[in-house]
Amino acid sequence: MVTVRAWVMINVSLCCISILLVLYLFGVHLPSLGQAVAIFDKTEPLCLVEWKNEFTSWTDLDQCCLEARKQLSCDAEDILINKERVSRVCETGKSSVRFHLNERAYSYCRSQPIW
Amino acid sequence: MNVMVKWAKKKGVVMKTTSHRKLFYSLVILVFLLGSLSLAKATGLLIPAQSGPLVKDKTISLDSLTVEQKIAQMVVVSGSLSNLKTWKKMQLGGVHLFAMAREDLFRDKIVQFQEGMTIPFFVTLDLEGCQNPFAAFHNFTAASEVTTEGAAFEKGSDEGKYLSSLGVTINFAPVVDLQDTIWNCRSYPGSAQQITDLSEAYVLGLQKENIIATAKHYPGKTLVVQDPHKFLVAADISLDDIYPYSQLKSSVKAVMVSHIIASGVVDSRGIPSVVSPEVINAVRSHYDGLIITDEINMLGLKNFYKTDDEMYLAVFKAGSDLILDFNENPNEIYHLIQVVSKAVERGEISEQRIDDSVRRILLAKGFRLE
Repeated sequence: MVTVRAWVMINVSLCCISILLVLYLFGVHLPSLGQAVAIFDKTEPLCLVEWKNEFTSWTDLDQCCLEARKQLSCDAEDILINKERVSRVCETGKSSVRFHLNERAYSYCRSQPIW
Repeated sequence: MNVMVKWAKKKGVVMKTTSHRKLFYSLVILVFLLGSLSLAKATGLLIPAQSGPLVKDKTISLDSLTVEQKIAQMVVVSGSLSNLKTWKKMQLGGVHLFAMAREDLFRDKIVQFQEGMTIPFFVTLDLEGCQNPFAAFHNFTAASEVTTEGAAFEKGSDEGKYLSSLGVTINFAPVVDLQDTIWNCRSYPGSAQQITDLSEAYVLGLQKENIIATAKHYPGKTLVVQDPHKFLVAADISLDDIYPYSQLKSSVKAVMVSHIIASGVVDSRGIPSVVSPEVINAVRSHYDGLIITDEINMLGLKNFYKTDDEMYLAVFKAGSDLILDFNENPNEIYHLIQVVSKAVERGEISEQRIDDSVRRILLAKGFRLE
C-alpha cells in the first residue's frame, strides 16, 4: 500500500518533470550541472597546439574548440606541458596536429553548440 | 463512537489515495506526451520537410525554389549521422565532415547523405596544413614541408584524387596566411610570393580533380599569437597579407573570410570581417567564386550582437554565399533559416542578394540555370 506521503512525492516529481519538459519545448535552456560547476572553476582555460613536439598556446579558445572538435577523439591525459597541467588530448593520428586542453577549456568546449 | 472515527479516518485516507492515484495517472500521461514531443523536437521530427525542387536534365530554375530552400542551400552544417534525416529533409547546402577512424566510414556517410537528394550536398572538410581528418589511416604531407611548386601541385593532385574518390566536393585549403606562429604548419613556407606560388600550384592540382579549393582565411593574420584577450581578434592588414588573394582570384574557386577585425588596407570598420559588407564587397568586386564564412558559433562574432538572430541577419546581409554553422541542434539551424526567410519577406534582405549566392552555389554543384 503506497502511503499518502509517497503519492505526494511522486506527483510533485512528475510535476517538476512536466515543467522542465514544457520549458524545453518553449526553448528555455537551463544550465546543466556541468556548466554550473564550470562557473565556480576559476582556473584559466588553456589550449596548446602540438606539432612535431612543439607546443604553442592558443588564446582564441573558440577556434581551439572548433579544431579540437574536428579530431577523431579527445582522450584523458594528465601531464605537464610548459609547466601547465593539461587533462585532454584531441587528436586523429600521430601524423596530424594535436590539441591539449586543461579541464576548464575542455568543459567550455563541451558546452558549445558545435560539440 | 471509536469505530465511527476509525471508519471516517480510513475513508479519508482511501479518498486521498484515490485522488492522488488519479492525479498520478494524469501526470504520467502528461509526462509521456511532453516527453514524446521533446524527443521529437530534439531529433528534428517537428521540422517540416521541404518540397522537392524541380530539376530536369541538370537544369534548375531559381523561381522553382522557395525562399527557404534558397537560404537552406547557403548553409553548411556538421555532417553528424544523428542529424542525417533532418539535414536531408531541410535540403541544406552542405555537410562538413570531421575526422573518422576508417575510410569506409567516410564513404558510407557520404553515400547516406547524398542518397535521394535532388540537389546534392556540398561535402566539405579540412585537409590542410597539418590537419588531416584521415590521419588515423592515411598520411598526407604537411603544407609547411612542401617547398617546390611541383611538389605542391602533386600534393594537390594526390589529395584531389583521394577526396574525389570518396565523394568530397570542397576542401577548405590552402591556408594562405603569411605567418603561422600558432600551429607552425598550416601555411606553405617562404615569402608572400613563395606562399602564393605554392598555393596556386596546390589549387591547380586539387581542382584538376574536380575538388573546389578554398583560399583562407581572408584577409590574413589569423594564425599569429594574439594578445591574451579572449574571443576578440584584431589585426592590421598589409598589402602583403592580401597579395595571395589578388593572385589566386582567377584560379581558386572559393575564398573563406575570417572573424578577424581588420584595419589597414582592409578595413572591417570595427566589426568582424565576416559580417562586414565593406570587406565582402571588396572581395566580390574582383572575384566571382564562392565566398564562404568561417564557422559562425564563435564568441568573437556572437559578442557583437545582442541575440543570435541579429548575428544571423548580419552574416547574410554582409554577402557571403556559404555560411558554416556547425551547431548540432537542428532546431537552431531551422530557426536560422526562418529568421533569414522572414527578413527576406519584409525586404530587410533582398531576394536578389540571396539569388546571387544560390546561383553561384548551384553552378558550382554542376547545375545549369534557366
